[in-house]
Amino acid sequence: MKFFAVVLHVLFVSAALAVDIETLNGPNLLGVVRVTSASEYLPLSVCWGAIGYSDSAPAADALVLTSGLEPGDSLYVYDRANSQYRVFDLVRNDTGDEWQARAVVHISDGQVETVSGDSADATPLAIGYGAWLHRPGVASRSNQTVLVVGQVQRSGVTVELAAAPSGKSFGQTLFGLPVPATGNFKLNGGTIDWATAGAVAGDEIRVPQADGSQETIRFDGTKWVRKYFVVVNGVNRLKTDTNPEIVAGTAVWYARKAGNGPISITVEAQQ
Amino acid sequence: MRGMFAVFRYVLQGVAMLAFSGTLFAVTVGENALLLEMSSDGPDCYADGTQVANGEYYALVAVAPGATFAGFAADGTLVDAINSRVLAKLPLARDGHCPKTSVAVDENALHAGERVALVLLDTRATLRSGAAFRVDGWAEISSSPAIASYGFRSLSGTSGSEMVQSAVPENTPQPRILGIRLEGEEMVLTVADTVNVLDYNLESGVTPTRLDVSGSAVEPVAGNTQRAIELRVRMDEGANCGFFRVIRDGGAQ
Repeated sequence: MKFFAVVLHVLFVSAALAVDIETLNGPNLLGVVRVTSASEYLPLSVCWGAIGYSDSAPAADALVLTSGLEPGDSLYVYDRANSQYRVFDLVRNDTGDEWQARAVVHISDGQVETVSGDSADATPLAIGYGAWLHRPGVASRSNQTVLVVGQVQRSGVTVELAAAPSGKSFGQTLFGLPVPATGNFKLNGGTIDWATAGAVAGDEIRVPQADGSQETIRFDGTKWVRKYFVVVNGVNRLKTDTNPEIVAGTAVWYARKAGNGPISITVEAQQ
Repeated sequence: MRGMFAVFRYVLQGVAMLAFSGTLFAVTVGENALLLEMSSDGPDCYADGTQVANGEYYALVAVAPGATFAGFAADGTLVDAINSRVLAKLPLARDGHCPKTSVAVDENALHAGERVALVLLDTRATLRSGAAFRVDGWAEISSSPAIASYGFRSLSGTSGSEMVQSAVPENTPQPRILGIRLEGEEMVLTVADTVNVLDYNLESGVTPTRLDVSGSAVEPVAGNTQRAIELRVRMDEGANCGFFRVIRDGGAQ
């Protein structure tokens, strides 16, 4: 049943977008999710695999369609194997769009290293984690729609969310949420059993906002709870949302409370 | 024999890579590193108005909360090493400006509430002669507000021809407060280890970690290598406490 729901969602979205995007050919089941945001720094979910392959991680140049993006936009990818960042700039030339690697200066423990990194097509992303799309141009952001694409996984994926480093209150991992069959990702009652996975009271999900701030959603031991203020008759009133949702196709910071080990989240296969 | 040559070649390659990177090991950062995108529009100029040379250095400096960045000494050290730290000095200048450069700073490399400043240096003496690293001027191009330890920040700006001359000669001692006394409405701080070519002043605040009033002495006072100098400051009416730090206040070059 879930299979058909995913297929319907994908086919519907693909059909809706077929007019204005380039054609993509995958051997099995292609996923497309539309992320609408005005954020300059947009955290995207690496929710699917490489197009044309079964259960392979996508390369950095295949995460999003470049339609609607502008030259000068860039992609920030965390290289988990080397604990360094890779950055790619979108360049538009006669042969089409290309993500070109930009050198990144890394600073830590009084040491500095400039790393050029591999090309985008040779830089694998990690399914279940996130990557940042930077859109400095107003025109690019005003377009607002970003299309995240990939091959729907046949296998489940385990995502490791880091423990807090020594002396820190939280350990943070950019977690790429799975894309549900329809609508946004529901933190409670969705496909992830957080308590069984090891989430503890005080863990936080931090959702980057368009204005640069972030919204915090806390785990209370059994469920995720979002608290927010609304102004009623000129008075700030605290409201509680026990069914928070995250925009499909985006990533969030999972902030693991200090004193707890890392947490492993299993993201189920979608077909 | 061929095997020996192969091993030797790999060793040489390794040494060459280390020399190029300047680090013994790869520098790693956490995923929640502070991600800076820095650049300057240009043209960035030296104090004499000439455009900065290719390969000129830009420095990234972490500045303590509430502190004013006091700049570089001629030997390339920081004037106020208590309230500022050099994160990196990078020979980035191309075509008269700092090209767009990505920097990932590990969260452990920054302290709570610090801001990060992008500073252009005048190291022509070093660039041209290959002499020991020397800073003949500096200009703060851009500065972030107090930063979180992670997330994105943009550092961009233009220095124009506002290069600040280095005011502090090499081997200048750190000033030392010897004593304090009250004279009417003023407090008088006695300060030793000053030098003749510089003026001294105070910065003050209501907590030791927030000295947010710079130049708070009644007037700056010229240093004196022979004897202690006195800096006067008025306590705010009604204030029950205050904190003061001696700072250098420009002075003769």
